[in-house]
Amino acid sequence: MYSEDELIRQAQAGDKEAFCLLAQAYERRIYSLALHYSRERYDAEDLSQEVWLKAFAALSMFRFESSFYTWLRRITINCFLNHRRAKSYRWHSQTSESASSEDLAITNDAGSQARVLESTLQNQLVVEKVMQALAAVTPQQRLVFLLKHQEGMTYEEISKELGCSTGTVKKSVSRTIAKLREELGVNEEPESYMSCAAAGILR
Amino acid sequence: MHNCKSSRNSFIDLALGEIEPARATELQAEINDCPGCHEEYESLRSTLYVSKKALRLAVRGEEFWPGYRTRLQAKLLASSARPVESGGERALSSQMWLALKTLATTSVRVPVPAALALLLICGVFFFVWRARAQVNIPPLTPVALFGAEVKTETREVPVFQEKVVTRVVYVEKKSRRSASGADQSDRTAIPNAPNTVGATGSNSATALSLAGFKPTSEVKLTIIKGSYKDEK
Repeated sequence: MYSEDELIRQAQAGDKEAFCLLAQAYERRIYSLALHYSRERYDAEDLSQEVWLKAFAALSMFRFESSFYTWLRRITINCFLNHRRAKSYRWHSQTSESASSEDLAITNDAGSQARVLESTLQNQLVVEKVMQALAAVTPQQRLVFLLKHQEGMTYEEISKELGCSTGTVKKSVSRTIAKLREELGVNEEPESYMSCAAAGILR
Repeated sequence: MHNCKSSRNSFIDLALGEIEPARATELQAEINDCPGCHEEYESLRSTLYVSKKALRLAVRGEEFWPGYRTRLQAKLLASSARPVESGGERALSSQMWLALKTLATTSVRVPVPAALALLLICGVFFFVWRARAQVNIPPLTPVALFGAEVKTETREVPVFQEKVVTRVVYVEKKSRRSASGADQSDRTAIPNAPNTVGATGSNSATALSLAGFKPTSEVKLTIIKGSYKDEK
């Protein structure tokens, strides 16, 4: 078993197998970012794999001055910002199809199936609402929100990465949260929302 | 004094951990004391929590990843991209470029008063330079730039010239008779002068007087400087 640094050095020498092993450690995070940014599964796969190809091509520039993921995230952000395909589409949830079929396959009794189905449907509903909220903001606002909320970067780090002011970052986060609250109906019916969330995602 | 409006402006920063610990504790205490703010803050936190969970749920399940890796590996093998640079020159150029970029983008934090003072000094220097430039100062020669002194002076250089003077002597009869004694002394002074005074008489005075002289082309008088006494 190789360490990350060893894998990086091997990949820098042109070892594609070592790079694939390296990619396995971060593929979900990158894919997740790509998915929430693009809001479409096929686009997310293309976008995330484009990130990996660019990372491999630029790997010789990695000087071990920061963590590999920080360097990789920078490439991801640049790749997202250069991604010009501005498609206006709705979030087509495919989680329900795959997840429900899987869940249903592994459960035997009807009661369990009903509970899993209910839970899955609730999850699907919330995911769809979150995706709709993300679709309602600009790509930059979406990216800022994802970097803050999903990646845990500070306002200052985001402003440096995106080349904008801290105020812009704050406004983007605030705007996206307002959209999320609007879509999730938090402001209107906090009690029912909470119960729904508790029954579904927040189990 | 708690102000709901101003406190709520900080709720997002508080929920996302962007507020300093001391201020966060203070704000949390305010939230706990105000039911309206408490409800608002809790709903915000719930939104963030649910959205984070939803974002995680949206990511594909385990069955997706083997296929994803296979496709990525195939793309990598198909691509001609190589992380190794073509040679040392390129690595050197990229290092130089990085160094230049770092130099160009390096910033130094300067306190505002120091920056203002620096700006003021630069401004004064500029105006002084402009004022000096307006005065007509001769341009510096390259020699002067290296420290050697150059003096420009006008001097008159004496030029010796030869001057040909034709001497014409006129002799009158009266003055010739009265000054016969003087003429005698002149004739003795000039060794080649012919003694014609007694033989030719007063009428031939002119002819006699010119006989002792050479042709003008042969008489050359060089006058360097001075009055009649210096004449040779």
